[in-house]
Amino acid sequence: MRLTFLLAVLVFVFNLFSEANAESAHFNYILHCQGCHLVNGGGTSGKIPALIGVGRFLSVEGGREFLVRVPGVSGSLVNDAELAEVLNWILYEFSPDNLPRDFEPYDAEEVGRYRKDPLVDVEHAKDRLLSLIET
Amino acid sequence: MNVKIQSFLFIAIFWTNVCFAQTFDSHGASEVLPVEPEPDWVFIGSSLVDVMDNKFLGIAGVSGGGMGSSFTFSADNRFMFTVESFYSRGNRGQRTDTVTIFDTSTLAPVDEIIVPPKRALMGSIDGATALSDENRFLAVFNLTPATSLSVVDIERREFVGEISTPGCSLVYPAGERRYLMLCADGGVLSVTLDEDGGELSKTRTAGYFDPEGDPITEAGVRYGDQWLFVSFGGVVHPLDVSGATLQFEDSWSLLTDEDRAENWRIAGKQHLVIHQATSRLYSLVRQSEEPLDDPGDMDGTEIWVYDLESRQRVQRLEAVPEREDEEIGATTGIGSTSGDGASGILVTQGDGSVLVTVGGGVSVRNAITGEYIHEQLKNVPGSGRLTLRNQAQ
Ligand code: HEC
Repeated sequence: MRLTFLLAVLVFVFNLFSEANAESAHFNYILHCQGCHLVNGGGTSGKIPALIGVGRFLSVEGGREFLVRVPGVSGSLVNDAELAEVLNWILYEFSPDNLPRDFEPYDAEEVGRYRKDPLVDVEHAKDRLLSLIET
Repeated sequence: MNVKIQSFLFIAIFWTNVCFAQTFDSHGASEVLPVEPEPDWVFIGSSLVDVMDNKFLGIAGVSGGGMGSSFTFSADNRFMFTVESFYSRGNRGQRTDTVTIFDTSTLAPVDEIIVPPKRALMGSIDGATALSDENRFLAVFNLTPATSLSVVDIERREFVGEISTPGCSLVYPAGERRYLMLCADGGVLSVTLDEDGGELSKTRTAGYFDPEGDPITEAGVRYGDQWLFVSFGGVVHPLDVSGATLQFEDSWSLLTDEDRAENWRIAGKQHLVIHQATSRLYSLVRQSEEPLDDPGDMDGTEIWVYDLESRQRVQRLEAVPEREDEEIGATTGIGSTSGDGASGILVTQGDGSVLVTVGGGVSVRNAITGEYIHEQLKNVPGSGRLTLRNQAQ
């Protein structure tokens, strides 16, 4: 009985916490990303890529780094923890169907590591990943 | 018809002709300017003015939906270039961007090069275009908001291609066939072209400035092989572009602790200029208790002059002469910001250099002594970006 109660409290607190996370992530998305990628993550054809379905990059080698090293992401004026949050948020929000089953959310340490090395040639890197995804 | 009426008509027609002739004489004269400019010819917006003689010389018919960039000049001084945007239905419809070529003698457009309709529409601020030091390839900064450069060969007058520059914005010449760009994370990107204007290499170097704590303004100035960009907090970041890789030199501050305690800050849109021969750096400043969201939003009320060798302030000048209120009212225009000082400064580079300020009118003074030559130029626009006509020398 006591244990169940404790568990319930824990779950409750955890939910509060993750909701707060989602809220601040959404807030940071609005502030730092939405201006270009739009409310629904749809982007603008030919100019700004859609974030819908970006989870597909995670299924190939180098994809996980790519999503952070894209300059719009790495150069964004949020700290590593916030950036990890926003990335996880866009993946869950815009790409639930493409997420690999064993997807592990990004954390601050990992994001911090990748973002130190922003991509200079995005198109090239992206083309390579896309061809890997196709095969 | 009787003779009297006939002769009256004759006289009337004669006088009308005389009047017309006079009208043409005094108002319709069109001059062809010499290709080699005088040292004190300055563009105020698109109007060319001899600031020493207070003489309006002409106006370049720049369109571009009010979003013209500044002028760049060919090495032989015969042509000048600017980027414009046009829509097929005036303010909407299909967009066409051009690099427009003007003849510097007539200030008339003579040719155009069509570029992708992507250039950053941001008014005439620094960094919109850059002619690399070899004087052949003009780069246009694009923002869609993906960022890239359009490269134009101004000798062959053709568009060469586009180079993507993700995360990095604005463009400045930085070598023979090289440009530098400022990146959102505080780094710089150098873009090098091959002999034909294609992309040879791109290198990104981190840590030039602090984009979050103390960002820099776009109004950088060139000092030989160095670019100097100044932060909102008044810190000068020298960037050496002479070598194969860009070098960050030690930064230094325009403001002492005492200046900061008195709330002095950099201000103005075109807030920096260098007199190359004497290594004097002129900086527009003002007092403001609150930090400015963007220094360009407020006029500078003083001009502080520094010796770039000793990095010491050597002079303090008022930004604009004291003016009667109605005088300011008559000339304050779009270029003016808070309306209590100067939004832009420029010095000419020849002998007897002059310091020009714009903001509620245009004033001209001796660049070294600060003595006024004209407190207020007459019959010239009271606002606009200042561009030195003999830039290419
Ligand atoms: C200034 C506009 C802009 C902003 C702001 C921006 N992006 Fe982007 N983003 C782009 C562009 C353009 C690309 C394409 C690659 C490039 O050129 O940088 C891109 C690519 C991406 C990609 C790779 C997707 C693909 O298919 O290539 C991801 C993921 C991404 N952005 C996420 C974000 C996130 C998260 C933020 C906010 C932290 C953000 N972006 C903010 C413009 C922007």
